[in-house]
Amino acid sequence: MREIIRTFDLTKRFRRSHAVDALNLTVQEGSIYALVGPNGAGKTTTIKILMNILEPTVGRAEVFGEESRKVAGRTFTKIGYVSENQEMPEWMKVNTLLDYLRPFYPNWDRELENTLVKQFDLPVGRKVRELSRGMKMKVALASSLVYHPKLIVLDEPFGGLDPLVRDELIEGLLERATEATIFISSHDLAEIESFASHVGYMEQGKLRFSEEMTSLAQRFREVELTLGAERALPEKLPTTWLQVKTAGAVARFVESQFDEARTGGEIRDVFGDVQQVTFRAMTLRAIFLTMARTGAHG
Amino acid sequence: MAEEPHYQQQILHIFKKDARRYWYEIAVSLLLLGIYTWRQPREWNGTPIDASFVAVLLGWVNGLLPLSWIFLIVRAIHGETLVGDRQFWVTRPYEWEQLLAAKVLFVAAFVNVPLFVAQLILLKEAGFGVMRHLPGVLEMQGALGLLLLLPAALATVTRGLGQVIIVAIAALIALIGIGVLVSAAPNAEMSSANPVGEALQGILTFVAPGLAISWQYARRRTWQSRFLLLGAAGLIVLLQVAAPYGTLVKRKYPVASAERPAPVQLAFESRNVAAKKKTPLTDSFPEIMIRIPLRVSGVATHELVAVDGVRVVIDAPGGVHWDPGWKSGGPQFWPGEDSAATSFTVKKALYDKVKSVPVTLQVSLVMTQYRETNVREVIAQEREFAVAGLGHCRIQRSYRADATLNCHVPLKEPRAMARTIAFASGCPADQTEAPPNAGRTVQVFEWHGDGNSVVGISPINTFGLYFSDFSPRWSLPENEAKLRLCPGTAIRVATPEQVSHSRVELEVPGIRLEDYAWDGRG
Repeated sequence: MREIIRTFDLTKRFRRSHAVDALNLTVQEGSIYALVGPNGAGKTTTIKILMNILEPTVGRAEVFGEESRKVAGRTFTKIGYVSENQEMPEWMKVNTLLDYLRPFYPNWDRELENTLVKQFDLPVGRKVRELSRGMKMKVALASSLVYHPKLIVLDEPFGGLDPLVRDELIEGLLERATEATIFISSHDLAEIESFASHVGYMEQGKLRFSEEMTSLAQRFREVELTLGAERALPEKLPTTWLQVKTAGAVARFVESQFDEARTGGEIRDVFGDVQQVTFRAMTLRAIFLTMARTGAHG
Repeated sequence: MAEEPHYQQQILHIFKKDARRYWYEIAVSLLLLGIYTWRQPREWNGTPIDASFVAVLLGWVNGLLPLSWIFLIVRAIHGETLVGDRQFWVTRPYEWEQLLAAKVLFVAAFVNVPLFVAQLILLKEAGFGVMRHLPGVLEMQGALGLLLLLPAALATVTRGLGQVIIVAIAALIALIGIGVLVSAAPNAEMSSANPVGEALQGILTFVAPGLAISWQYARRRTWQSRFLLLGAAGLIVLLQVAAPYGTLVKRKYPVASAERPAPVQLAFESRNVAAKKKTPLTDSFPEIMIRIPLRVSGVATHELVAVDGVRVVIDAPGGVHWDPGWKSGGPQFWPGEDSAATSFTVKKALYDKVKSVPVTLQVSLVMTQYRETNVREVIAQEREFAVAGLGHCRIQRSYRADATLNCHVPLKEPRAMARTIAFASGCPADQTEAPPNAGRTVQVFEWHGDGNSVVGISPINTFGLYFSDFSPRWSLPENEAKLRLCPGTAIRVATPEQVSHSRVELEVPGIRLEDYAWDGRG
C-alpha cells in the first residue's frame, strides 16, 4: 500500500524548544490515522509542516511523495485541510465562498456540494462571520470534502464542539473515508476511538508509538488475578506487564503484548496457580493513561 | 461534476473577488482622483476655489489621494495575507505567481489605469498634445509603479492595517533619526558628488522591496523578507553616511589652475563696516549666519556659474579651528554681475567666542559652469502665453511677487535660464508709488529645473520663475522688490548646458565675524 505521508527525523525548533523532535511517521493510503497526544505535544506543528505552512528545522516530510516544502498550488486540489484555528474569509457568504472556491478545483462535485449543504444544513445566505463555531467547522469541512480530496487533514477539528455537531462532522467525514486517506489530530481520545484505523501518540515532540488500532486494542488488556492467598510481588516480572499492583489476594496489571496463551503461561510462571484470571479489553483512553503513567512506549 | 481546471484564470478570479470585496475603497479612491482632476487646472490657472469648509477639505485631496492608493494596495494584499500560519488560502490551490499577478492587476486596474486617464485629461486641459506626451505619461506610470513597491512590500510583511500603521510610524521616526545622522555625517550634504552611491541607493530602494514581495509570495518567509528590507534600508543609510564625500568632492571638482582657469574670478570684498547700521542680533538665535561678500568677475557672456557647495574653515587665535565640512548649495554668478555673497552658519557659542577677534577663513567653493543654449526671447503677455521649452506661463500678480512668472509644463521640469531687462517695457505706474525704476535698466536672472522626469500624480509640472536681483545690496532695502514683470516685458530664456566643474579656494585673513553677521537686512 502506498505511503501518503512520511516524515524523516522531522524536527521543528522554535528558538530553543523542540516542538517536533526527530519524528518518523508513516501514514498508509486509505487509513484513518489519528495523531493523538496532549496539548503542546507537537501535533499541530507536524501538520503545519506537512501542509507547508511551516518549514522544518531539520529532517524532512513527504506528502504524496512530494517534499513538504513543495506542497503548494495544484497539490492542494488533492488535499482537504481543516483546522480549528483556520481563519476563514469571514466577509463572504457561505454560497459566495463555495462559488469562489469552485473554479480552483477540477474535481469539484456540484452534486456533492448540494448534498453537503443539505446534510450539514449550511446557511448559504449568511456571512461566515455570523456563523457559530460549529457551523464554521461544517462550512470548512464541506468546502474541503466537495472536491474528493485524496488526503483529508484535520487539525483538532472537533475541539469545543457540542456532541451533536461533532457527530454530524464525523458522519460526514466517514461517508467520504472510502475514497480518501484521513489524517486527524486530536487530544480527545474518545472522539477518534470510534473511527480511527491507526493511531500515533505524540508527547513532547516525539512520536511515542504508531500502530493500527485493532492491533493496539488486541495487545492491551487489563488483567485481574484472584490468588489463593495474599502474596508479595516477585522482584522479576515480565517487562510487558505494566502498573502491576496487589491488594490482598488480588493482583492487577496491564498486559501490553497480550496473547492469551503466552500471557497465561507467564502468569503461571510468576504466581503459580491462580484461582481466577480475567482479561478485559481497554479503551484507547485507558491504554494511553497507562502508557503516560508508566513511560512505556509500545 | 467538475468544471475544467483553469489555473491560468486564477488571476481574473482572484481579481474579481478583490474588486467585489474592496469596492468601497475603490470608490473612495476614484472619487478622490476625480476631485484631484477637477482641482488641478484651477490651481494652475489661479482660479480661486471657494474658501468654504468643503473646499478646504477638498484641498487635502493631494495628500489623501496617494494615501487612498496605499490603503487600497495594503487592503488588497492583506486580502490574502502572507504573514502568519492560519490563513485559509494557503492550503488552497492558489498558484503564487497568479496570486501576485492578480494583485498587480488590481493595482493596475484601480490605481494606474484611472490615473492614466486622469493624466491624459490633465494634459488636454493644459493644452498639451496628448499623443505626443503618451510615452512620458507611461514613464510616469512606471515611476509610480516603482514607488508603490514600497507600501506593497510593507503590506507583504505585515498582517493587518494596525501593523502597517505601527511600522509606518516607526519608519517615520527612523527617517528623522537617519536625517539627523546624515546631517551629522561630514560632507554628507554633497551626496551629488557620489553618483555611484546615489545610483546604488536608488537600485536598493526599489530592488529590495521587489525581491521581498516576490520572496513572500513564493515562499512566505516573513522574517527573511523583513530582514531583507531592513538590511537594504541599513545599507542605504550606510552608503549615505559612510561615503568618502570629501575625497569625492575634490575629485569631481578639480581646483582651478592656470591650465584650468575657473569660470569665474572671485575675491573677498572687504566690507565697509561703517556703511552698515548694526542691528544687535538676538540671543535666541541658536545659529548665526555669516555672509561673506564676494567681488565677482569673469563670467563669460551667455554663461552661468552655479555654486554646488561651500566649505568654510575658521582659524582663530587660541588654537580655535572649526571645520563643518562641505555644505550644499550656494550663490549663482551671472555675467555682468560684480558682487555676490556666500553664507554659512556657526553655532552661537562659537560665534560669541570669536566674533570680536580677527579670524582667518578658508573658503572653498565647488561650482558648475553652464552655457546658454537654445536662446529665445519672448514677450510677456497679459494672459497665459507659450514659452518654447518652458511651457505655458503667466505673470503672477500678488503682493511683492510681481516679478514671478508662473509656468506649467508637461512631464518634465525644464532646465532653464531666464533673464529679463525689466522695466524698460513700461510697466504701468502704480498710483501708490513712484514709477518703478523708470529710466533704469536692471538685469535679473533665474534658472530652474534639473531636467528630470516628473515623479508624481499630475503630468503637469507647475513652477515659478522668481526673477530677483541676486546682487547683494548692502544698504537700501527700498531697492528690493520693485522688480516687476508686465505685459510687453521681454524675457530672454535659454537652456543651460553643463560645461565644467571646478573648485575655487579663497583665504580671507583677519576679519571679524561680527562685521559679517547677517541680521536679515541687505
